[in-house]
Amino acid sequence: MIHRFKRSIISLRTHESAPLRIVGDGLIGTQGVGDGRMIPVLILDTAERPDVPQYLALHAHSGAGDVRVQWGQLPQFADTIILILTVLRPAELTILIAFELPKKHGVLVDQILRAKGLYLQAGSPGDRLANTMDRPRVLVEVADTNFQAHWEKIYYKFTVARLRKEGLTRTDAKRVAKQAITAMRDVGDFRFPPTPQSAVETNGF
Amino acid sequence: MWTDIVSAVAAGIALFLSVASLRQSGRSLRISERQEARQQPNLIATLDAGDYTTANEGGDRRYRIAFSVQNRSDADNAVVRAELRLTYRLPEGILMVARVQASPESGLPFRLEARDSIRKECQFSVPATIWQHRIEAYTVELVDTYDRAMTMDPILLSERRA
Repeated sequence: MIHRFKRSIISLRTHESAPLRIVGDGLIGTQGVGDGRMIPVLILDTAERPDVPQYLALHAHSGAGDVRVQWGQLPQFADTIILILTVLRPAELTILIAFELPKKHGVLVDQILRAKGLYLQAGSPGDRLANTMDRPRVLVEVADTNFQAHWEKIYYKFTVARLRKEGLTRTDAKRVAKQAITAMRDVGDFRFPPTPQSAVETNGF
Repeated sequence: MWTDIVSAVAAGIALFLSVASLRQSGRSLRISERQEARQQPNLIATLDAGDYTTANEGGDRRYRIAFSVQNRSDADNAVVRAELRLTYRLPEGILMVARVQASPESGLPFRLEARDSIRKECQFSVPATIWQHRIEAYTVELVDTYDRAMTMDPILLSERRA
């Protein structure tokens, strides 16, 4: 257990209960979207969730939507942060996205919180943003749900633990963790200048 | 002796007046509660007719839903949003629910004065990515100014031939 969350029960349909894995990621910065913020793109493995590509196709048709977001953790998934997207329009479905911290997904969570949004894209293992730029994707606004303060602790503790595993002393790990987080945030805070859409592929942290 | 009688009569009159006053205030309270209840939003929607046309194969299907809305309240209201909810089944068996907003030409929002009624027709443009699947149910949802939803469930909608 990485951090103590407040317990709550959410109702899900059977096929919605398994969190979707992130199989690819990247950043898209567009001057006309979110004031040029670098917004993370999550390519999700939707092999078991045909309703997700269907939702993305419907959104492309309607052009507008309504999504509620909530951060959390599932008891059976250690070292994983879950983003719960309750889609209300143009389709009704719930999507759980698993951010596996050992797989360097912490940088994505951090960037989503800083950019206040994310792009969702359906895909399969092996997909990369650079070769799937023409696929439909949905921009989801991620409002502040008071998760930021929890996340600061989780991210820092996890980064320290990771650096300790790599052989640093406790004092050095704490110092380097702060520096590493600040450096990653400096990169993520870049705002794209007024040019056509551009994409940057990342490797996570 | 006579003072006791006068006191008893006066007490009787006072009791009668208090009971009468109590009944009167109860009546006034009930009238005022009924007036207050009549001020509460109370829209009733009734489905009149519905059909659809398909311009071409693979194109959007245009649903036309005609309905009446009664405002049974003493307060003005308005219908601000109309949506067609389509429940359909994907080939993998998953039940999907899509919400399609009424087209701009449907004239939303529209106002309804107190104790008034109106007949409207809303159009919904449904993409082939929905209607090519097996549609299980339709629900038309209207939402008023107070964010109250009313639903109508067309059971069978037929294609209108030009």
